[in-house]
Amino acid sequence: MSTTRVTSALDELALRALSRQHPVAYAEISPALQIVHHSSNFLDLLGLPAQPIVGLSLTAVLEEFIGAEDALQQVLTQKAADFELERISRARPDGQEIFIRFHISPLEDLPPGSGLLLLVQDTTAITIIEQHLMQDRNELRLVQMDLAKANADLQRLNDYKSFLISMVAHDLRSPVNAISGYAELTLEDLLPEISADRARGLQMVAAMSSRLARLIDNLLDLDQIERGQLKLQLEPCQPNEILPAVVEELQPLITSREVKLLWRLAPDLPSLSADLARLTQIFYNLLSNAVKYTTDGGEIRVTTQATPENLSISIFNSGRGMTESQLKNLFRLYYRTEEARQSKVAGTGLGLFIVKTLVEAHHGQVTAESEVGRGSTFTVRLPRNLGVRL
Amino acid sequence: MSHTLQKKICLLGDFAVGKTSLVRRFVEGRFDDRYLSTIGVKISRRALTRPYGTLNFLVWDLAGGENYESHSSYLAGVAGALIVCDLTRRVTMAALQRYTSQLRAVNPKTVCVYLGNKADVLDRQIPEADLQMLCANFLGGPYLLTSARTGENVEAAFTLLAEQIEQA
Repeated sequence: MSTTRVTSALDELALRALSRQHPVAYAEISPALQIVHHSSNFLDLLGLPAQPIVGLSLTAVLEEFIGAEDALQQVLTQKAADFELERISRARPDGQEIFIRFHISPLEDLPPGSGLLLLVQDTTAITIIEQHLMQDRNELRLVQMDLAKANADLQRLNDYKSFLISMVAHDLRSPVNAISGYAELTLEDLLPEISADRARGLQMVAAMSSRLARLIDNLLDLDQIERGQLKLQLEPCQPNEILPAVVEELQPLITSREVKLLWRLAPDLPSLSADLARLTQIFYNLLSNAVKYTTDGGEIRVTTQATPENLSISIFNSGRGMTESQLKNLFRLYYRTEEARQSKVAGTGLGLFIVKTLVEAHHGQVTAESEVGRGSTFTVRLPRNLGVRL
Repeated sequence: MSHTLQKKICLLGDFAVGKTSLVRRFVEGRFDDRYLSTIGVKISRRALTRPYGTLNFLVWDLAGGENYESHSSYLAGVAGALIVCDLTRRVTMAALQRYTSQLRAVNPKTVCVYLGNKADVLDRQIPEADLQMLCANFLGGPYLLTSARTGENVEAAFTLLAEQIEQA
């Protein structure tokens, strides 16, 4: 057997092997773009009826080439190397969809204009895999687009909500402060002259308007936080002095609840660099929560400690305590436990969120430990040497 | 005496704008809610009755997005194109110019009709005025708002393309 024959036989074997994976057929096309000859599997592979096609124009047999006549002439005259159509969907007589690759090139070793070779390959198997991949990718993109749109809508709504809260809070602040101030002044002036009932009424007005003023302040703080406009003014602060001042403000409530307050303040607690108003606000929110959520006649313990790196302030209350899952959500905005919502204790779910934000703005950390029936401890750790995140 | 013409037309546009649904509505008169990505090309036929006789449209429904871009051979001999955007996704309108340029690079004289599809959906990101402005000032072709779901303007879109091809 000659070398040429061996090569040809090997080519044939290779073609058959390839053909089993991706069935291939061919046809010879004349310069007039008519079918001159075709392989025996040509009609079957393309799902065409078993009728003679030799002598028919290419476009009459395969509508895929309608409109491509100029491009084919370019290949015929060898001005273009080839012409290819990939992933052409066709239906077999039984309705099954197949995908075909057409490749047209000049007949090899012949002068330009002699004719064309049309190779037809069934690429259904690989195309279906590609189709699945593309389907998944496109569906994922659509979901991404939907999510991005939903996110933008939510952001718009959130901006609108912030705007409303800020506007309403600003408008309420002055009248509420006026009510609170005048109620306290009136109470001071008239206390010796009025009945106990009237005095209680005035005290109620003062306390409620003061609570309302704090709520408004919290809302305005929240607005600042959400807009990233929270600014700290640092100065030396001594927690051992700030905490008793805050407790004094809460004293009427502590007294009315008959709560026992125990102090465990470290005697040599160093000062730290912090925003005095914000630090006061952190302690106020934690202490007022402790008073609100302690049972009548319960106990609150305030502890301060210093380590070489941190100052730590812990506030324990002997309230009903919380579950693990409640603890996990405790510092989320607007979060209130189911028990808190059902109780008579007023709250908005803003206080602890603001505490966490303010503590973190001081590069500190706030944690809560609790056990149902055994009370809760909130601990704020603040760095002694502060590099503040603004 | 009446005669018959045959023209190759195609639909171009980003993925999931509704090209296949428009073809299905035009050729088969039905709509399917499921989204199935087109891969490669599917060719359909439909004859339109015209004043001079019959116009046979060979409709090439091409895969959207970047899936077809390297295959300019698909566009060989295209007489006209419906270039489609999805009125609920603004990004698909920005792509109209790109598809027009790609088509004209292969067929400089091809006529185009631009479609804002999914006109039945209320939550639109593309106002009609924006599409009108883009078509009048940058794309230089007529536009229609269509809905493959309801059939709104689908027949009109293909008829308008036929008129544009005949006038070219």
